[in-house]
Amino acid sequence: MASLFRFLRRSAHESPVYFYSLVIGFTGPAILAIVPPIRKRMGYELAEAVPTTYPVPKRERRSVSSEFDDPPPSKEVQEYLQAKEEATKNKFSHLYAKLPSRLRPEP
Amino acid sequence: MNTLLIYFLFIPLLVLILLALNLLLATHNPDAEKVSGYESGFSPIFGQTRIPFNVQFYVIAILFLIFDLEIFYLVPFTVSIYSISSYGFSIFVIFFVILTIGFIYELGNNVINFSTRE
Amino acid sequence: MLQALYLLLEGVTVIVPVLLAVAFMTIIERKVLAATQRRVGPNTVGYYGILQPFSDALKLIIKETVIPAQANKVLFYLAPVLAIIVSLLGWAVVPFGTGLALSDFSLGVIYTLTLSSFGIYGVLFAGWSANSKYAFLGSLRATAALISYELILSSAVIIIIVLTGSFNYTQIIESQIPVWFIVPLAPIFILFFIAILAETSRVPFDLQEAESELVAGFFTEHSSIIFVLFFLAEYSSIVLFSTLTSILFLGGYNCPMIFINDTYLNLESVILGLKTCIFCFMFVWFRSTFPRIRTDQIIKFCWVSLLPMVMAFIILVPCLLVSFDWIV
Repeated sequence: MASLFRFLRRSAHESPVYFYSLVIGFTGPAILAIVPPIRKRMGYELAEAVPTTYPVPKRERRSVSSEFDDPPPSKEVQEYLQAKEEATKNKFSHLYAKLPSRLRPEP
Repeated sequence: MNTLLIYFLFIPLLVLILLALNLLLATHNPDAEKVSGYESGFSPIFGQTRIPFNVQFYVIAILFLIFDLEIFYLVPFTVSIYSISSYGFSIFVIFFVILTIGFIYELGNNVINFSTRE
Repeated sequence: MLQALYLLLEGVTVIVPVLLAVAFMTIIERKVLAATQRRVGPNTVGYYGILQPFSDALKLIIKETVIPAQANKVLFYLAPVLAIIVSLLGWAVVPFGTGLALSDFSLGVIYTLTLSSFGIYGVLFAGWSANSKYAFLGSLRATAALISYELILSSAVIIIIVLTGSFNYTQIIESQIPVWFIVPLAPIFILFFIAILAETSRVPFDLQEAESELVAGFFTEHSSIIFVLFFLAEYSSIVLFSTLTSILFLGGYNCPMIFINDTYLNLESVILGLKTCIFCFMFVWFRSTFPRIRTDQIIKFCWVSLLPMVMAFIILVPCLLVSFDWIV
């Protein structure tokens, strides 16, 4: 023990750069090992992580009725839409319905 | 069309204007004594200007390459330290300890000594 | 086209005061050096010698450019041009006020480090192109010292970025509103300042261009305008690094808000200028106080003494942050 102390003192006197670099370098992991248990005992809680995405709810996935959010249209609106669809029907309508909506021909 | 782009074009233009000013305003009378190299009065011997140089400079350049790359490997860690939290920090410590062991070995071999007596 | 003219006007608004600052830095240095040596510096040209740099520049522009016959012409002209372009380009990311940077680059710090690494090419080309033994050796030693202290500079800056979390200079200044970074990171400030002294080849790391050794180091063969360009590049680096020190360590343009500023005058750049003046004065103060150290002592000092300290701090600062729960 005494010879260890003498070794440390000699290296601090003779090559101070290496000695103090090692001291500062080992202070880091030493604090990492000592401080968190003390903080836990003193009652500090780990801080909650700052949210980086949308907070996804923690429950079962609910299924939805359709892919649209709107309520179903009223009766007058439905009749109007049906009349409009019959006016623009031609013999290729069933084929045009398979295209994506941006490629369909204009009415 | 960015400020930085115009700035990058403007600065060399400024420097070239300074050079052009010198070209316009200065005399230019080279004679044999003026354009010989400086060697405290002696005339330079042909072929002795590109001398071989000390290998220590090359060793320093190699070491700089290694440690500079190490430091720039640490750069992404420093910006994203909050997202990576403790796990990323432990990876950083392992990486850094390996390189520190290499550094300690290099220092112990006394690599940087300019005054080699051979 | 008109937009390009507006952007050019922005660039001119930054460059003209910067060049004036660089010019006055030379006269400040000479006057302060003289004051520390109990004499008066140049005081003939203007009031108290203020117009001295302009007369110096004019004299050097009118002088004849002597190119040695055995030099590589292209590299000979390219070296100082590269040095000063790189030195002046660094001013593009410096914020002079809230949102008043020429370009609020998200990677501002990396831009600065890249430019300081690129400036070393100017030194290398200058020594190689002037085809003479002495210039070549001088440039090799200068390059070796410069690249060694490049490491310390990058490491010190990285430790600051750990505390900030972004490379943007405005973000770094905003995160210093609670406390300036010099208060927690004082040893790193010391290391950074030593690295800056070496990067600009100032005393005590001055041997490359000391006026009494090796004639003038790597720019022995360079005369008139080429010398002016190197000279301007060095002083511009001094002012730029002083500004960066005051941005990274002192608060930049932060100061306690005593009154609300409703006018169009920008007082924040004045605060930044005052903090820069502190560091410019410190450069000259060091020059008047310290002796030089030899080139091999410079390089050995960096690799054997400074780099272990820097590595110790790189380990210490994230450890402290993790253990005190700043990062979960």
